[in-house]
Amino acid sequence: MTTFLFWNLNRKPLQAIVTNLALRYDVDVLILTECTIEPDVLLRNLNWQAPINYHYAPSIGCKTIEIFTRFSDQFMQPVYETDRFSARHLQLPEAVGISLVSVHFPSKLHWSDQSQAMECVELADLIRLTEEIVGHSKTVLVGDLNMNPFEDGVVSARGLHGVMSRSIAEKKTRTVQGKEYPFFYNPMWGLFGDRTPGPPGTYYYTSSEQRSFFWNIFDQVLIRPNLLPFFDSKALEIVQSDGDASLVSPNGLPDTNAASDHLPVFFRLEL
Amino acid sequence: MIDLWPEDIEQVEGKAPVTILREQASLLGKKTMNIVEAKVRRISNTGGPSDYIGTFPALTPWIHANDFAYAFDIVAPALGDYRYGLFTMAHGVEMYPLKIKIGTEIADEVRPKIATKINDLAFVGDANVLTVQSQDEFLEALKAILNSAKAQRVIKAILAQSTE
Repeated sequence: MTTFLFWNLNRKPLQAIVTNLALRYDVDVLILTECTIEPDVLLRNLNWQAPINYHYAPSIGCKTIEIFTRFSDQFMQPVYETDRFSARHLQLPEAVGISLVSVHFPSKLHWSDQSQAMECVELADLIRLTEEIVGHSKTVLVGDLNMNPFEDGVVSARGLHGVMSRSIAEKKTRTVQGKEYPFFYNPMWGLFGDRTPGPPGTYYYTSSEQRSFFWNIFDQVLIRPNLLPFFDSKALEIVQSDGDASLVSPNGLPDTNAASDHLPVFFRLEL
Repeated sequence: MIDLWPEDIEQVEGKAPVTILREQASLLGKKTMNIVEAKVRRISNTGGPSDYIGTFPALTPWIHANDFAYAFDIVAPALGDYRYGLFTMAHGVEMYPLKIKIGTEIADEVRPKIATKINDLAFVGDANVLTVQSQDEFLEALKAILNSAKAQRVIKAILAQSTE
């Protein structure tokens, strides 16, 4: 079982919490964004306590995503990158090879909804390009999309085509106006609101406008149908504690003083 | 039969933007002994699932349905053919105006450098899409992008890792 944790650190020195999370959740692949912690600092923190040493897996062109792994970075080589996108081929010995695509989209403070949707189209293209390069579509997309699962770029066929139902995603593709578009399964839909354990979202924002969702799920994991047999859906979690300290304040909102304005997302793949 | 076409119909002014891109791509290989290369790939408007499906007007307003669109990638053959997407470009049948989409880091660096050299410099909305009106402006913008600190860092990083 290979474990993954994604977290937007909001440019804060959260190495102690990251280390606690890595140990508590037995994380194999740590994916961080808005990470201003120097790699050597985080490695010292991680490897001081960890039974298995972590490695820094540097990118070449994408400095907005930082990845640390409990195996050599030679098993996770970057395939295609842009300044906000990093696609890596994860091939552990005697394990299923996958494409791990990590992204950090611009926030709604800086980009309009239209620009964000537009970016999803390009992201979808880059994912398909990556899949052509590696020769398979066992792809997991993880990151801070700064969009909710229901927004145009995430749901549209021309965008990420993320659907809420596994059985729909297992149909693999859908034809729209004569063109075939592959699905992603977006399990994050199932984590909204109060019906499941844990926080109602990953990011809290309230506005004075008529429409305000309050809780958003900007930090998402999407799985290609070919990778679904390996995805442990029960393990998917929006994390609210590192074992020692809570990442949410007493009112249940992300504790932006002690931690980040985003909550981490944890998931597992049986590779 | 009467020939109603103009005499100089075969004369073409200027180079096609994709030709300019391919020339620059080949020069990078020469400068780095092909340790680092650049490749220009067409973003197809009509491809099936196995193509680089490019445009859909409702969701990509900066590329229109009949545009010619290309991506310019930095490639590292010795690193498993690693690719870094430096920018994408699109134009209509008349070549200009032409749009170039770049990452935020390059956009922030390039914007002040070329603002005085390119008339009607326009970044479409907030998505780092630059519009140029002529071949001269295109060359100015392209030079700024290829000389950007980000592009240099990526190339140097590839060189360093390829020769380890």
